[in-house]
Amino acid sequence: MIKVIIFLFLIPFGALSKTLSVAVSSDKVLTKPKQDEVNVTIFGYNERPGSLILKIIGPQQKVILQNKKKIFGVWTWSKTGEFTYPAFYHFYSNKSSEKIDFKIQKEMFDNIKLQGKDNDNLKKDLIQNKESAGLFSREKKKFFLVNKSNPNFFQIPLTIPYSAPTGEYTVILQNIESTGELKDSVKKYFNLEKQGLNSFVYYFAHKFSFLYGMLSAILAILFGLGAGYLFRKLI
Amino acid sequence: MTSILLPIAQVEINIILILIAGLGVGFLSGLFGVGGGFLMTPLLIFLGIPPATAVGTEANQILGSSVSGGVAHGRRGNIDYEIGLFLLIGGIFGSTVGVVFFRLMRDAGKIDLLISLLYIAFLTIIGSLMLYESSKTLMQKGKIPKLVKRKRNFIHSLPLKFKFRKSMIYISILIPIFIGLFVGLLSALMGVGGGFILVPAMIYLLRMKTIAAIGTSLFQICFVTANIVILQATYNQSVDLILAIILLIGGVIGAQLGSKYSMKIKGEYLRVCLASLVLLVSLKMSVDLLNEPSTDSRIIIQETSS
Repeated sequence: MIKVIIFLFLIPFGALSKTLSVAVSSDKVLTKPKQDEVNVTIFGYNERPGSLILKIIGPQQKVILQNKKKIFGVWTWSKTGEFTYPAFYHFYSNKSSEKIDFKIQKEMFDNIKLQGKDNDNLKKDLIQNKESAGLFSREKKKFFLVNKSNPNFFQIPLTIPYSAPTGEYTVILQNIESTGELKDSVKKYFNLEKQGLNSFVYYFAHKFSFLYGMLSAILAILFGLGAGYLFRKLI
Repeated sequence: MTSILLPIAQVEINIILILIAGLGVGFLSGLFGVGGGFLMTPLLIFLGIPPATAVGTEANQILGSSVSGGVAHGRRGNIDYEIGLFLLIGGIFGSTVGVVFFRLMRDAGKIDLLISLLYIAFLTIIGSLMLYESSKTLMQKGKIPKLVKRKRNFIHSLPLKFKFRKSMIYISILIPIFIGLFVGLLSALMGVGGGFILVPAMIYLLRMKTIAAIGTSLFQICFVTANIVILQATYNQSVDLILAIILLIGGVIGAQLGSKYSMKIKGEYLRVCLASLVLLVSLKMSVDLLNEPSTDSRIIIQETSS
Protein backbone atom coordinates (compact mmCIF):
# COMPACT_ATOMS: atom_id res chain seq x y z
CA MET A 1 0.00 0.00 0.00
CA ILE A 2 2.82 2.38 0.96
CA LYS A 3 4.49 1.73 -2.39
CA VAL A 4 1.28 2.66 -4.23
CA ILE A 5 1.18 5.95 -2.33
CA ILE A 6 4.84 6.60 -3.09
CA PHE A 7 4.23 5.87 -6.75
CA LEU A 8 1.24 8.22 -6.85
CA PHE A 9 3.48 10.97 -5.48
CA LEU A 10 6.28 10.18 -7.87
CA ILE A 11 4.11 10.26 -10.98
CA PRO A 12 2.44 13.60 -11.61
CA PHE A 13 -1.34 13.27 -11.60
CA GLY A 14 -1.54 14.22 -15.26
CA ALA A 15 0.64 11.28 -16.15
CA LEU A 16 -1.83 8.80 -14.69
CA SER A 17 -4.29 9.75 -17.40
CA LYS A 18 -1.71 8.47 -19.93
CA THR A 19 -1.45 4.82 -20.88
CA LEU A 20 2.32 4.64 -20.14
CA SER A 21 4.18 6.35 -17.30
CA VAL A 22 7.49 6.01 -15.52
CA ALA A 23 8.98 7.33 -12.27
CA VAL A 24 12.22 6.91 -10.34
CA SER A 25 12.35 6.29 -6.57
CA SER A 26 14.75 9.23 -6.17
CA ASP A 27 16.23 11.85 -8.50
CA LYS A 28 19.55 11.44 -6.62
CA VAL A 29 20.86 7.88 -6.55
CA LEU A 30 23.85 6.92 -4.39
CA THR A 31 26.27 4.08 -5.02
CA LYS A 32 29.06 2.90 -2.76
CA PRO A 33 32.00 0.47 -3.11
CA LYS A 34 30.82 -3.16 -3.29
CA GLN A 35 27.25 -2.01 -3.93
CA ASP A 36 25.15 -5.16 -4.08
CA GLU A 37 21.87 -3.92 -2.66
CA VAL A 38 19.10 -2.25 -4.63
CA ASN A 39 19.83 1.50 -4.82
CA VAL A 40 17.11 2.63 -7.22
CA THR A 41 13.62 1.43 -8.03
CA ILE A 42 11.87 2.27 -11.25
CA PHE A 43 8.09 2.48 -11.04
CA GLY A 44 5.94 2.07 -14.12
CA TYR A 45 2.36 2.14 -15.26
CA ASN A 46 1.11 0.57 -18.48
CA GLU A 47 -2.39 -0.09 -19.79
CA ARG A 48 -1.54 -1.31 -23.27
CA PRO A 49 -0.80 -4.87 -24.36
CA GLY A 50 2.62 -5.68 -25.82
CA SER A 51 6.12 -5.86 -24.41
CA LEU A 52 7.89 -3.36 -22.21
CA ILE A 53 11.50 -2.30 -22.48
CA LEU A 54 13.23 -0.35 -19.76
CA LYS A 55 16.48 1.44 -20.63
CA ILE A 56 18.91 3.03 -18.19
CA ILE A 57 21.39 5.16 -20.12
CA GLY A 58 24.42 6.82 -18.51
CA PRO A 59 26.44 9.90 -19.51
CA GLN A 60 28.44 9.94 -22.76
CA GLN A 61 32.03 8.78 -22.54
CA LYS A 62 34.97 9.05 -24.93
CA VAL A 63 37.24 5.99 -24.73
CA ILE A 64 40.03 4.12 -26.44
CA LEU A 65 39.67 0.36 -26.86
CA GLN A 66 42.86 -1.71 -26.71
CA ASN A 67 43.11 -5.42 -27.50
CA LYS A 68 45.86 -7.72 -26.26
CA LYS A 69 48.54 -8.61 -28.77
CA LYS A 70 51.66 -10.79 -28.75
CA ILE A 71 54.83 -9.29 -30.25
CA PHE A 72 58.02 -11.40 -30.30
CA GLY A 73 56.66 -13.56 -27.48
CA VAL A 74 55.83 -10.54 -25.30
CA TRP A 75 52.22 -9.59 -24.45
CA THR A 76 51.22 -5.98 -25.02
CA TRP A 77 48.11 -3.91 -25.80
CA SER A 78 47.25 -2.39 -29.12
CA LYS A 79 44.87 0.49 -29.84
CA THR A 80 41.99 -0.72 -32.00
CA GLY A 81 39.59 2.22 -31.99
CA GLU A 82 38.25 5.40 -30.42
CA PHE A 83 34.62 5.49 -29.37
CA THR A 84 31.99 7.81 -27.96
CA TYR A 85 29.07 6.02 -26.31
CA PRO A 86 26.87 6.01 -23.19
CA ALA A 87 29.11 4.86 -20.32
CA PHE A 88 26.25 2.83 -18.85
CA TYR A 89 23.65 0.95 -20.91
CA HIS A 90 21.19 -1.41 -19.23
CA PHE A 91 18.21 -2.88 -21.08
CA TYR A 92 15.49 -4.86 -19.37
CA SER A 93 12.51 -6.42 -21.11
CA ASN A 94 9.52 -8.13 -19.48
CA LYS A 95 9.11 -10.58 -22.38
CA SER A 96 11.69 -12.29 -24.48
CA SER A 97 11.32 -12.38 -28.24
CA GLU A 98 13.73 -12.48 -31.15
CA LYS A 99 12.45 -9.16 -32.51
CA ILE A 100 12.92 -7.37 -29.19
CA ASP A 101 16.38 -8.90 -28.68
CA PHE A 102 17.38 -7.76 -32.18
CA LYS A 103 15.99 -4.26 -31.58
CA ILE A 104 17.94 -3.94 -28.29
CA GLN A 105 21.17 -5.19 -29.85
CA LYS A 106 20.80 -2.87 -32.87
CA GLU A 107 20.19 0.12 -30.62
CA MET A 108 23.26 -0.71 -28.54
CA PHE A 109 25.40 -0.91 -31.69
CA ASP A 110 23.90 2.26 -33.20
CA ASN A 111 24.59 4.28 -30.07
CA ILE A 112 28.30 3.51 -30.14
CA LYS A 113 29.98 6.10 -32.33
CA LEU A 114 33.29 4.95 -33.71
CA GLN A 115 35.74 7.58 -34.92
CA GLY A 116 36.65 6.94 -38.54
CA LYS A 117 35.32 3.94 -40.47
CA ASP A 118 32.48 1.99 -38.81
CA ASN A 119 33.47 -1.49 -37.65
CA ASP A 120 30.94 -3.86 -36.02
CA ASN A 121 33.67 -6.22 -34.77
CA LEU A 122 35.27 -3.42 -32.75
CA LYS A 123 31.87 -2.44 -31.35
CA LYS A 124 31.31 -6.09 -30.40
CA ASP A 125 34.65 -6.13 -28.53
CA LEU A 126 33.69 -2.94 -26.70
CA ILE A 127 30.25 -4.29 -25.74
CA GLN A 128 31.82 -7.52 -24.43
CA ASN A 129 34.31 -5.52 -22.35
CA LYS A 130 31.56 -3.32 -20.90
CA GLU A 131 29.30 -6.33 -20.24
CA SER A 132 32.05 -8.08 -18.29
CA ALA A 133 32.43 -4.92 -16.17
CA GLY A 134 28.66 -4.90 -15.51
CA LEU A 135 28.20 -1.54 -17.24
CA PHE A 136 26.33 -2.88 -20.28
CA SER A 137 23.54 -5.38 -19.79
CA ARG A 138 20.71 -6.93 -21.79
CA GLU A 139 18.36 -9.14 -19.84
CA LYS A 140 14.84 -10.31 -19.39
CA LYS A 141 13.81 -9.10 -15.95
CA LYS A 142 10.80 -9.61 -13.82
CA PHE A 143 8.65 -6.48 -13.59
CA PHE A 144 7.16 -6.90 -10.11
CA LEU A 145 3.61 -5.81 -9.44
CA VAL A 146 3.35 -3.03 -6.88
CA ASN A 147 -0.13 -4.20 -5.91
CA LYS A 148 -1.72 -7.50 -6.92
CA SER A 149 -5.10 -5.84 -7.34
CA ASN A 150 -3.77 -3.61 -10.11
CA PRO A 151 -1.74 -5.42 -12.78
CA ASN A 152 -0.85 -2.12 -14.51
CA PHE A 153 1.41 -0.84 -11.74
CA PHE A 154 4.86 -2.42 -11.59
CA GLN A 155 8.29 -1.81 -10.17
CA ILE A 156 11.81 -2.81 -11.18
CA PRO A 157 14.39 -2.76 -8.38
CA LEU A 158 17.92 -2.11 -9.74
CA THR A 159 21.48 -2.00 -8.53
CA ILE A 160 23.72 0.62 -10.12
CA PRO A 161 27.30 -0.55 -9.46
CA TYR A 162 30.08 1.64 -8.06
CA SER A 163 31.98 1.33 -11.35
CA ALA A 164 29.23 3.31 -13.13
CA PRO A 165 30.30 6.92 -13.74
CA THR A 166 28.58 9.77 -11.92
CA GLY A 167 26.31 12.13 -13.84
CA GLU A 168 22.86 12.32 -15.38
CA TYR A 169 21.14 9.04 -16.23
CA THR A 170 18.11 8.72 -18.51
CA VAL A 171 15.36 6.21 -17.75
CA ILE A 172 13.25 5.30 -20.78
CA LEU A 173 10.24 3.03 -20.67
CA GLN A 174 8.94 1.80 -24.04
CA ASN A 175 5.88 -0.10 -25.09
CA ILE A 176 6.60 -2.37 -28.08
CA GLU A 177 4.15 -4.26 -30.29
CA SER A 178 4.72 -7.95 -31.04
CA THR A 179 5.91 -6.86 -34.51
CA GLY A 180 8.70 -4.91 -32.81
CA GLU A 181 7.11 -1.53 -33.61
CA LEU A 182 7.41 1.20 -30.96
CA LYS A 183 3.99 2.29 -29.65
CA ASP A 184 4.83 4.63 -26.82
CA SER A 185 7.86 5.90 -24.93
CA VAL A 186 8.28 7.90 -21.72
CA LYS A 187 11.38 9.35 -20.10
CA LYS A 188 12.68 10.38 -16.66
CA TYR A 189 16.12 11.36 -15.29
CA PHE A 190 18.17 10.80 -12.18
CA ASN A 191 21.63 11.80 -11.04
CA LEU A 192 24.11 9.16 -9.92
CA GLU A 193 26.41 10.19 -7.10
CA LYS A 194 29.12 8.29 -5.29
CA GLN A 195 29.73 8.27 -1.57
CA GLY A 196 32.97 8.85 0.26
CA LEU A 197 36.40 10.41 -0.10
CA ASN A 198 37.20 8.14 -3.04
CA SER A 199 34.50 9.65 -5.18
CA PHE A 200 35.55 13.19 -4.26
CA VAL A 201 39.20 12.48 -5.16
CA TYR A 202 38.18 10.90 -8.49
CA TYR A 203 35.90 13.84 -9.35
CA PHE A 204 38.51 16.42 -8.33
CA ALA A 205 41.28 14.62 -10.27
CA HIS A 206 39.23 14.47 -13.46
CA LYS A 207 37.39 17.80 -13.39
CA PHE A 208 40.13 20.02 -11.93
CA SER A 209 43.21 18.09 -13.04
CA PHE A 210 45.68 21.00 -12.82
CA LEU A 211 44.53 22.03 -9.34
CA TYR A 212 44.64 18.39 -8.26
CA GLY A 213 48.22 18.10 -9.53
CA MET A 214 49.22 21.30 -7.69
CA LEU A 215 47.58 20.08 -4.49
CA SER A 216 49.29 16.67 -4.77
CA ALA A 217 52.69 18.35 -5.22
CA ILE A 218 52.10 20.81 -2.34
CA LEU A 219 50.98 17.98 -0.03
CA ALA A 220 54.09 15.94 -0.86
CA ILE A 221 56.35 18.97 -0.25
CA LEU A 222 54.66 19.75 3.08
CA PHE A 223 54.93 16.08 4.03
CA GLY A 224 58.64 16.05 3.21
CA LEU A 225 59.29 19.29 5.12
CA GLY A 226 57.22 18.09 8.08
CA ALA A 227 58.96 14.72 8.21
CA GLY A 228 62.38 16.38 8.04
CA TYR A 229 61.48 18.75 10.90
CA LEU A 230 59.97 15.96 13.00
CA PHE A 231 62.96 13.63 12.66
CA ARG A 232 65.39 16.47 13.40
CA LYS A 233 63.52 17.06 16.65
CA LEU A 234 63.27 13.36 17.52
CA ILE A 235 66.79 12.24 16.64
CA MET B 1 38.28 -3.94 6.71
CA THR B 2 41.79 -2.74 5.88
CA SER B 3 41.26 -2.82 2.12
CA ILE B 4 40.32 0.30 0.19
CA LEU B 5 39.44 1.09 -3.40
CA LEU B 6 42.05 3.48 -4.76
CA PRO B 7 40.22 6.35 -6.53
CA ILE B 8 42.52 6.77 -9.54
CA ALA B 9 44.06 3.31 -9.85
CA GLN B 10 40.51 1.84 -9.44
CA VAL B 11 42.08 -1.16 -7.72
CA GLU B 12 41.13 -2.51 -4.32
CA ILE B 13 44.21 -2.81 -2.18
CA ASN B 14 45.17 -3.61 1.40
CA ILE B 15 46.38 -0.45 3.22
CA ILE B 16 48.63 -2.48 5.52
CA LEU B 17 50.28 -4.13 2.52
CA ILE B 18 51.00 -0.74 0.89
CA LEU B 19 52.27 0.65 4.20
CA ILE B 20 54.61 -2.33 4.57
CA ALA B 21 55.77 -1.91 0.97
CA GLY B 22 56.45 1.80 1.62
CA LEU B 23 58.23 0.97 4.87
CA GLY B 24 60.27 -1.78 3.22
CA VAL B 25 61.41 0.30 0.25
CA GLY B 26 61.94 3.33 2.51
CA PHE B 27 64.09 1.15 4.80
CA LEU B 28 66.13 -0.07 1.81
CA SER B 29 66.54 3.46 0.47
CA GLY B 30 67.74 4.64 3.88
CA LEU B 31 70.01 1.62 4.20
CA PHE B 32 71.59 1.94 0.76
CA GLY B 33 71.34 5.70 0.35
CA VAL B 34 69.26 5.50 -2.83
CA GLY B 35 65.95 7.16 -3.71
CA GLY B 36 63.99 3.94 -3.94
CA GLY B 37 61.80 4.89 -6.91
CA PHE B 38 63.31 2.17 -9.09
CA LEU B 39 62.26 -0.41 -6.47
CA MET B 40 58.90 1.08 -5.47
CA THR B 41 57.41 1.47 -8.97
CA PRO B 42 58.00 -2.21 -9.91
CA LEU B 43 56.71 -3.30 -6.49
CA LEU B 44 53.50 -1.29 -7.01
CA ILE B 45 53.10 -2.95 -10.42
CA PHE B 46 53.60 -6.39 -8.79
CA LEU B 47 50.87 -5.47 -6.26
CA GLY B 48 48.40 -4.88 -9.09
CA ILE B 49 48.54 -1.08 -9.52
CA PRO B 50 48.30 -0.18 -13.23
CA PRO B 51 51.83 0.77 -14.45
CA ALA B 52 50.73 4.27 -15.57
CA THR B 53 49.30 5.06 -12.11
CA ALA B 54 52.34 3.50 -10.39
CA VAL B 55 54.67 5.85 -12.32
CA GLY B 56 52.59 9.01 -11.72
CA THR B 57 52.05 8.29 -8.03
CA GLU B 58 55.64 7.28 -7.32
CA ALA B 59 56.80 10.68 -8.65
CA ASN B 60 54.69 12.23 -5.87
CA GLN B 61 56.33 10.06 -3.20
CA ILE B 62 59.83 10.88 -4.53
CA LEU B 63 58.94 14.59 -4.38
CA GLY B 64 58.14 14.29 -0.65
CA SER B 65 61.27 12.34 0.26
CA SER B 66 63.62 14.44 -1.92
CA VAL B 67 62.30 17.69 -0.40
CA SER B 68 63.15 16.30 3.03
CA GLY B 69 66.68 15.32 1.95
CA GLY B 70 67.18 18.39 -0.26
CA VAL B 71 66.46 20.83 2.58
CA ALA B 72 68.91 19.00 4.85
CA HIS B 73 71.66 19.18 2.20
CA GLY B 74 70.82 22.84 1.47
CA ARG B 75 71.33 23.73 5.13
CA ARG B 76 74.75 22.07 5.09
CA GLY B 77 75.73 23.98 1.93
CA ASN B 78 75.99 20.82 -0.20
CA ILE B 79 74.07 22.19 -3.20
CA ASP B 80 75.79 23.82 -6.19
CA TYR B 81 72.90 26.03 -7.31
CA GLU B 82 74.64 27.12 -10.54
CA ILE B 83 75.01 23.57 -11.83
CA GLY B 84 71.60 22.76 -10.32
CA LEU B 85 70.00 25.50 -12.42
CA PHE B 86 71.35 24.11 -15.71
CA LEU B 87 70.39 20.57 -14.67
CA LEU B 88 66.94 21.94 -13.92
CA ILE B 89 66.56 23.63 -17.34
CA GLY B 90 67.23 20.29 -19.01
CA GLY B 91 65.17 18.40 -16.42
CA ILE B 92 62.03 20.52 -16.83
CA PHE B 93 62.21 20.25 -20.63
CA GLY B 94 62.94 16.50 -20.53
CA SER B 95 60.20 15.69 -18.03
CA THR B 96 57.61 17.76 -19.97
CA VAL B 97 58.46 15.94 -23.20
CA GLY B 98 58.38 12.67 -21.20
CA VAL B 99 54.82 13.28 -19.91
CA VAL B 100 53.55 14.17 -23.42
CA PHE B 101 55.22 11.02 -24.82
CA PHE B 102 53.74 9.04 -21.89
CA ARG B 103 50.23 10.07 -22.98
CA LEU B 104 50.87 9.18 -26.62
CA MET B 105 52.16 5.74 -25.59
CA ARG B 106 49.27 5.21 -23.17
CA ASP B 107 46.68 5.97 -25.86
CA ALA B 108 48.49 3.64 -28.26
CA GLY B 109 48.38 0.88 -25.61
CA LYS B 110 52.16 0.62 -25.34
CA ILE B 111 52.89 2.43 -22.05
CA ASP B 112 52.91 -0.75 -19.89
CA LEU B 113 55.34 -2.43 -22.25
CA LEU B 114 57.56 0.67 -22.44
CA ILE B 115 57.69 1.01 -18.63
CA SER B 116 58.55 -2.70 -18.23
CA LEU B 117 61.23 -2.63 -20.95
CA LEU B 118 62.84 0.51 -19.52
CA TYR B 119 62.90 -1.05 -16.06
CA ILE B 120 64.29 -4.36 -17.28
CA ALA B 121 67.05 -2.57 -19.22
CA PHE B 122 68.04 -0.14 -16.45
CA LEU B 123 67.74 -2.57 -13.56
CA THR B 124 69.80 -5.20 -15.38
CA ILE B 125 72.56 -2.69 -16.27
CA ILE B 126 72.63 -1.05 -12.83
CA GLY B 127 72.33 -4.35 -10.93
CA SER B 128 75.13 -5.98 -12.96
CA LEU B 129 77.45 -2.97 -12.61
CA MET B 130 76.78 -2.73 -8.91
CA LEU B 131 77.36 -6.45 -8.40
CA TYR B 132 80.61 -6.33 -10.42
CA GLU B 133 81.87 -3.24 -8.60
CA SER B 134 81.04 -4.47 -5.08
CA SER B 135 82.36 -8.01 -5.72
CA LYS B 136 85.60 -6.50 -7.06
CA THR B 137 85.94 -4.31 -3.97
CA LEU B 138 85.35 -7.28 -1.69
CA MET B 139 87.98 -9.36 -3.50
CA GLN B 140 90.56 -6.55 -3.58
CA LYS B 141 90.19 -5.80 0.12
CA GLY B 142 93.49 -4.66 1.61
CA LYS B 143 95.11 -3.89 -1.76
CA ILE B 144 96.05 -0.28 -2.53
CA PRO B 145 94.21 0.88 -5.67
CA LYS B 146 96.33 2.23 -8.53
CA LEU B 147 95.91 5.89 -9.35
CA VAL B 148 94.50 6.37 -12.85
CA LYS B 149 95.35 9.62 -14.63
CA ARG B 150 92.22 11.16 -16.12
CA LYS B 151 92.47 11.97 -19.81
CA ARG B 152 90.84 14.87 -21.60
CA ASN B 153 87.87 13.80 -23.75
CA PHE B 154 85.27 15.32 -26.08
CA ILE B 155 83.35 16.72 -23.09
CA HIS B 156 86.12 19.26 -22.55
CA SER B 157 85.96 20.50 -26.14
CA LEU B 158 82.24 21.41 -26.04
CA PRO B 159 81.31 25.13 -26.47
CA LEU B 160 79.48 27.49 -24.04
CA LYS B 161 81.92 26.90 -21.19
CA PHE B 162 81.12 28.34 -17.79
CA LYS B 163 83.09 28.61 -14.55
CA PHE B 164 81.12 26.98 -11.73
CA ARG B 165 82.75 28.62 -8.72
CA LYS B 166 81.39 26.44 -5.92
CA SER B 167 82.50 23.14 -7.47
CA MET B 168 85.55 24.79 -9.04
CA ILE B 169 85.00 23.30 -12.48
CA TYR B 170 85.10 24.87 -15.93
CA ILE B 171 82.83 22.98 -18.33
CA SER B 172 80.23 23.53 -21.05
CA ILE B 173 76.71 24.27 -19.76
CA LEU B 174 75.48 21.81 -22.40
CA ILE B 175 76.63 18.87 -20.24
CA PRO B 176 74.43 19.55 -17.18
CA ILE B 177 71.55 20.56 -19.51
CA PHE B 178 71.85 17.27 -21.42
CA ILE B 179 72.17 15.17 -18.22
CA GLY B 180 69.10 16.95 -16.78
CA LEU B 181 67.14 16.40 -19.99
CA PHE B 182 67.91 12.67 -20.11
CA VAL B 183 67.12 12.14 -16.43
CA GLY B 184 63.93 14.26 -16.66
CA LEU B 185 62.72 12.11 -19.57
CA LEU B 186 63.41 8.90 -17.63
CA SER B 187 61.76 10.28 -14.49
CA ALA B 188 58.54 10.99 -16.37
CA LEU B 189 58.49 7.57 -18.03
CA MET B 190 59.69 5.42 -15.13
CA GLY B 191 58.52 7.21 -11.97
CA VAL B 192 62.05 7.51 -10.58
CA GLY B 193 63.99 10.46 -9.22
CA GLY B 194 66.98 9.59 -11.35
CA GLY B 195 69.58 9.97 -8.60
CA PHE B 196 71.15 6.68 -9.68
CA ILE B 197 72.14 8.36 -12.97
CA LEU B 198 72.54 11.97 -11.81
CA VAL B 199 74.99 11.27 -8.99
CA PRO B 200 77.48 9.08 -10.98
CA ALA B 201 77.16 11.47 -13.96
CA MET B 202 78.03 14.48 -11.82
CA ILE B 203 80.93 12.67 -10.15
CA TYR B 204 82.47 11.13 -13.28
CA LEU B 205 81.46 13.58 -16.05
CA LEU B 206 81.35 16.89 -14.19
CA ARG B 207 84.05 15.86 -11.64
CA MET B 208 82.02 17.15 -8.72
CA LYS B 209 82.57 16.10 -5.11
CA THR B 210 80.30 13.19 -4.03
CA ILE B 211 78.49 15.14 -1.30
CA ALA B 212 77.85 18.11 -3.64
CA ALA B 213 76.63 15.70 -6.33
CA ILE B 214 74.11 14.14 -3.92
CA GLY B 215 72.87 17.55 -2.67
CA THR B 216 72.62 19.02 -6.19
CA SER B 217 70.85 15.92 -7.54
CA LEU B 218 68.24 16.19 -4.76
CA PHE B 219 67.76 19.89 -5.62
CA GLN B 220 67.10 18.98 -9.26
CA ILE B 221 64.87 16.00 -8.36
CA CYS B 222 62.60 18.19 -6.16
CA PHE B 223 61.67 20.56 -9.01
CA VAL B 224 61.57 17.95 -11.77
CA THR B 225 59.31 15.57 -9.81
CA ALA B 226 57.03 18.52 -8.86
CA ASN B 227 56.74 19.29 -12.59
CA ILE B 228 56.03 15.60 -13.35
CA VAL B 229 53.34 15.32 -10.64
CA ILE B 230 51.49 18.41 -11.93
CA LEU B 231 51.77 17.34 -15.59
CA GLN B 232 50.92 13.66 -14.97
CA ALA B 233 47.84 14.74 -12.98
CA THR B 234 46.79 17.29 -15.61
CA TYR B 235 47.32 15.30 -18.82
CA ASN B 236 47.18 11.66 -17.77
CA GLN B 237 45.16 11.67 -14.50
CA SER B 238 47.65 9.11 -13.21
CA VAL B 239 48.44 10.46 -9.73
CA ASP B 240 46.59 8.61 -6.96
CA LEU B 241 46.69 10.91 -3.96
CA ILE B 242 45.42 8.30 -1.48
CA LEU B 243 48.08 5.80 -2.58
CA ALA B 244 50.74 8.53 -2.50
CA ILE B 245 49.89 9.52 1.09
CA ILE B 246 50.11 5.90 2.31
CA LEU B 247 53.44 5.47 0.49
CA LEU B 248 54.77 8.75 1.92
CA ILE B 249 53.98 7.69 5.50
CA GLY B 250 55.62 4.27 5.08
CA GLY B 251 58.53 5.62 3.03
CA VAL B 252 59.54 8.42 5.39
CA ILE B 253 59.50 6.20 8.52
CA GLY B 254 61.29 3.36 6.70
CA ALA B 255 64.02 5.67 5.36
CA GLN B 256 64.81 6.98 8.84
CA LEU B 257 65.03 3.45 10.26
CA GLY B 258 67.15 2.32 7.30
CA SER B 259 69.65 5.14 7.65
CA LYS B 260 70.11 4.21 11.34
CA TYR B 261 70.97 0.61 10.48
CA SER B 262 73.22 1.53 7.54
CA MET B 263 75.95 2.55 10.00
CA LYS B 264 76.05 -0.99 11.40
CA ILE B 265 76.48 -2.90 8.13
CA LYS B 266 79.56 -2.82 5.86
CA GLY B 267 79.09 -0.90 2.58
CA GLU B 268 80.37 -3.65 0.24
CA TYR B 269 77.96 -6.22 1.65
CA LEU B 270 75.12 -3.70 1.39
CA ARG B 271 75.89 -3.09 -2.28
CA VAL B 272 75.97 -6.84 -3.06
CA CYS B 273 72.55 -7.21 -1.39
CA LEU B 274 71.10 -4.25 -3.30
CA ALA B 275 72.53 -5.47 -6.60
CA SER B 276 71.00 -8.91 -6.07
CA LEU B 277 67.64 -7.33 -5.21
CA VAL B 278 67.71 -5.09 -8.31
CA LEU B 279 68.52 -8.09 -10.55
CA LEU B 280 65.71 -10.13 -8.98
CA VAL B 281 63.19 -7.33 -9.66
CA SER B 282 64.40 -7.15 -13.26
CA LEU B 283 64.00 -10.93 -13.64
CA LYS B 284 60.45 -10.84 -12.23
CA MET B 285 59.50 -8.02 -14.65
CA SER B 286 60.91 -10.01 -17.58
CA VAL B 287 58.90 -13.10 -16.60
CA ASP B 288 55.72 -11.00 -16.20
CA LEU B 289 56.04 -9.77 -19.78
CA LEU B 290 55.59 -13.35 -20.98
CA ASN B 291 52.34 -13.82 -19.02
CA GLU B 292 49.16 -13.51 -21.08
CA PRO B 293 46.72 -10.80 -19.80
CA SER B 294 43.54 -12.29 -18.27
CA THR B 295 41.23 -10.11 -20.40
CA ASP B 296 41.11 -9.82 -24.19
CA SER B 297 40.53 -6.07 -24.25
CA ARG B 298 40.67 -3.02 -22.03
CA ILE B 299 39.21 0.47 -22.09
CA ILE B 300 41.07 3.73 -21.50
CA ILE B 301 38.59 6.45 -20.53
CA GLN B 302 39.46 9.83 -22.03
CA GLU B 303 36.47 11.97 -21.11
CA THR B 304 33.07 11.60 -19.41
CA SER B 305 30.38 14.23 -19.88
CA SER B 306 28.59 15.01 -16.62
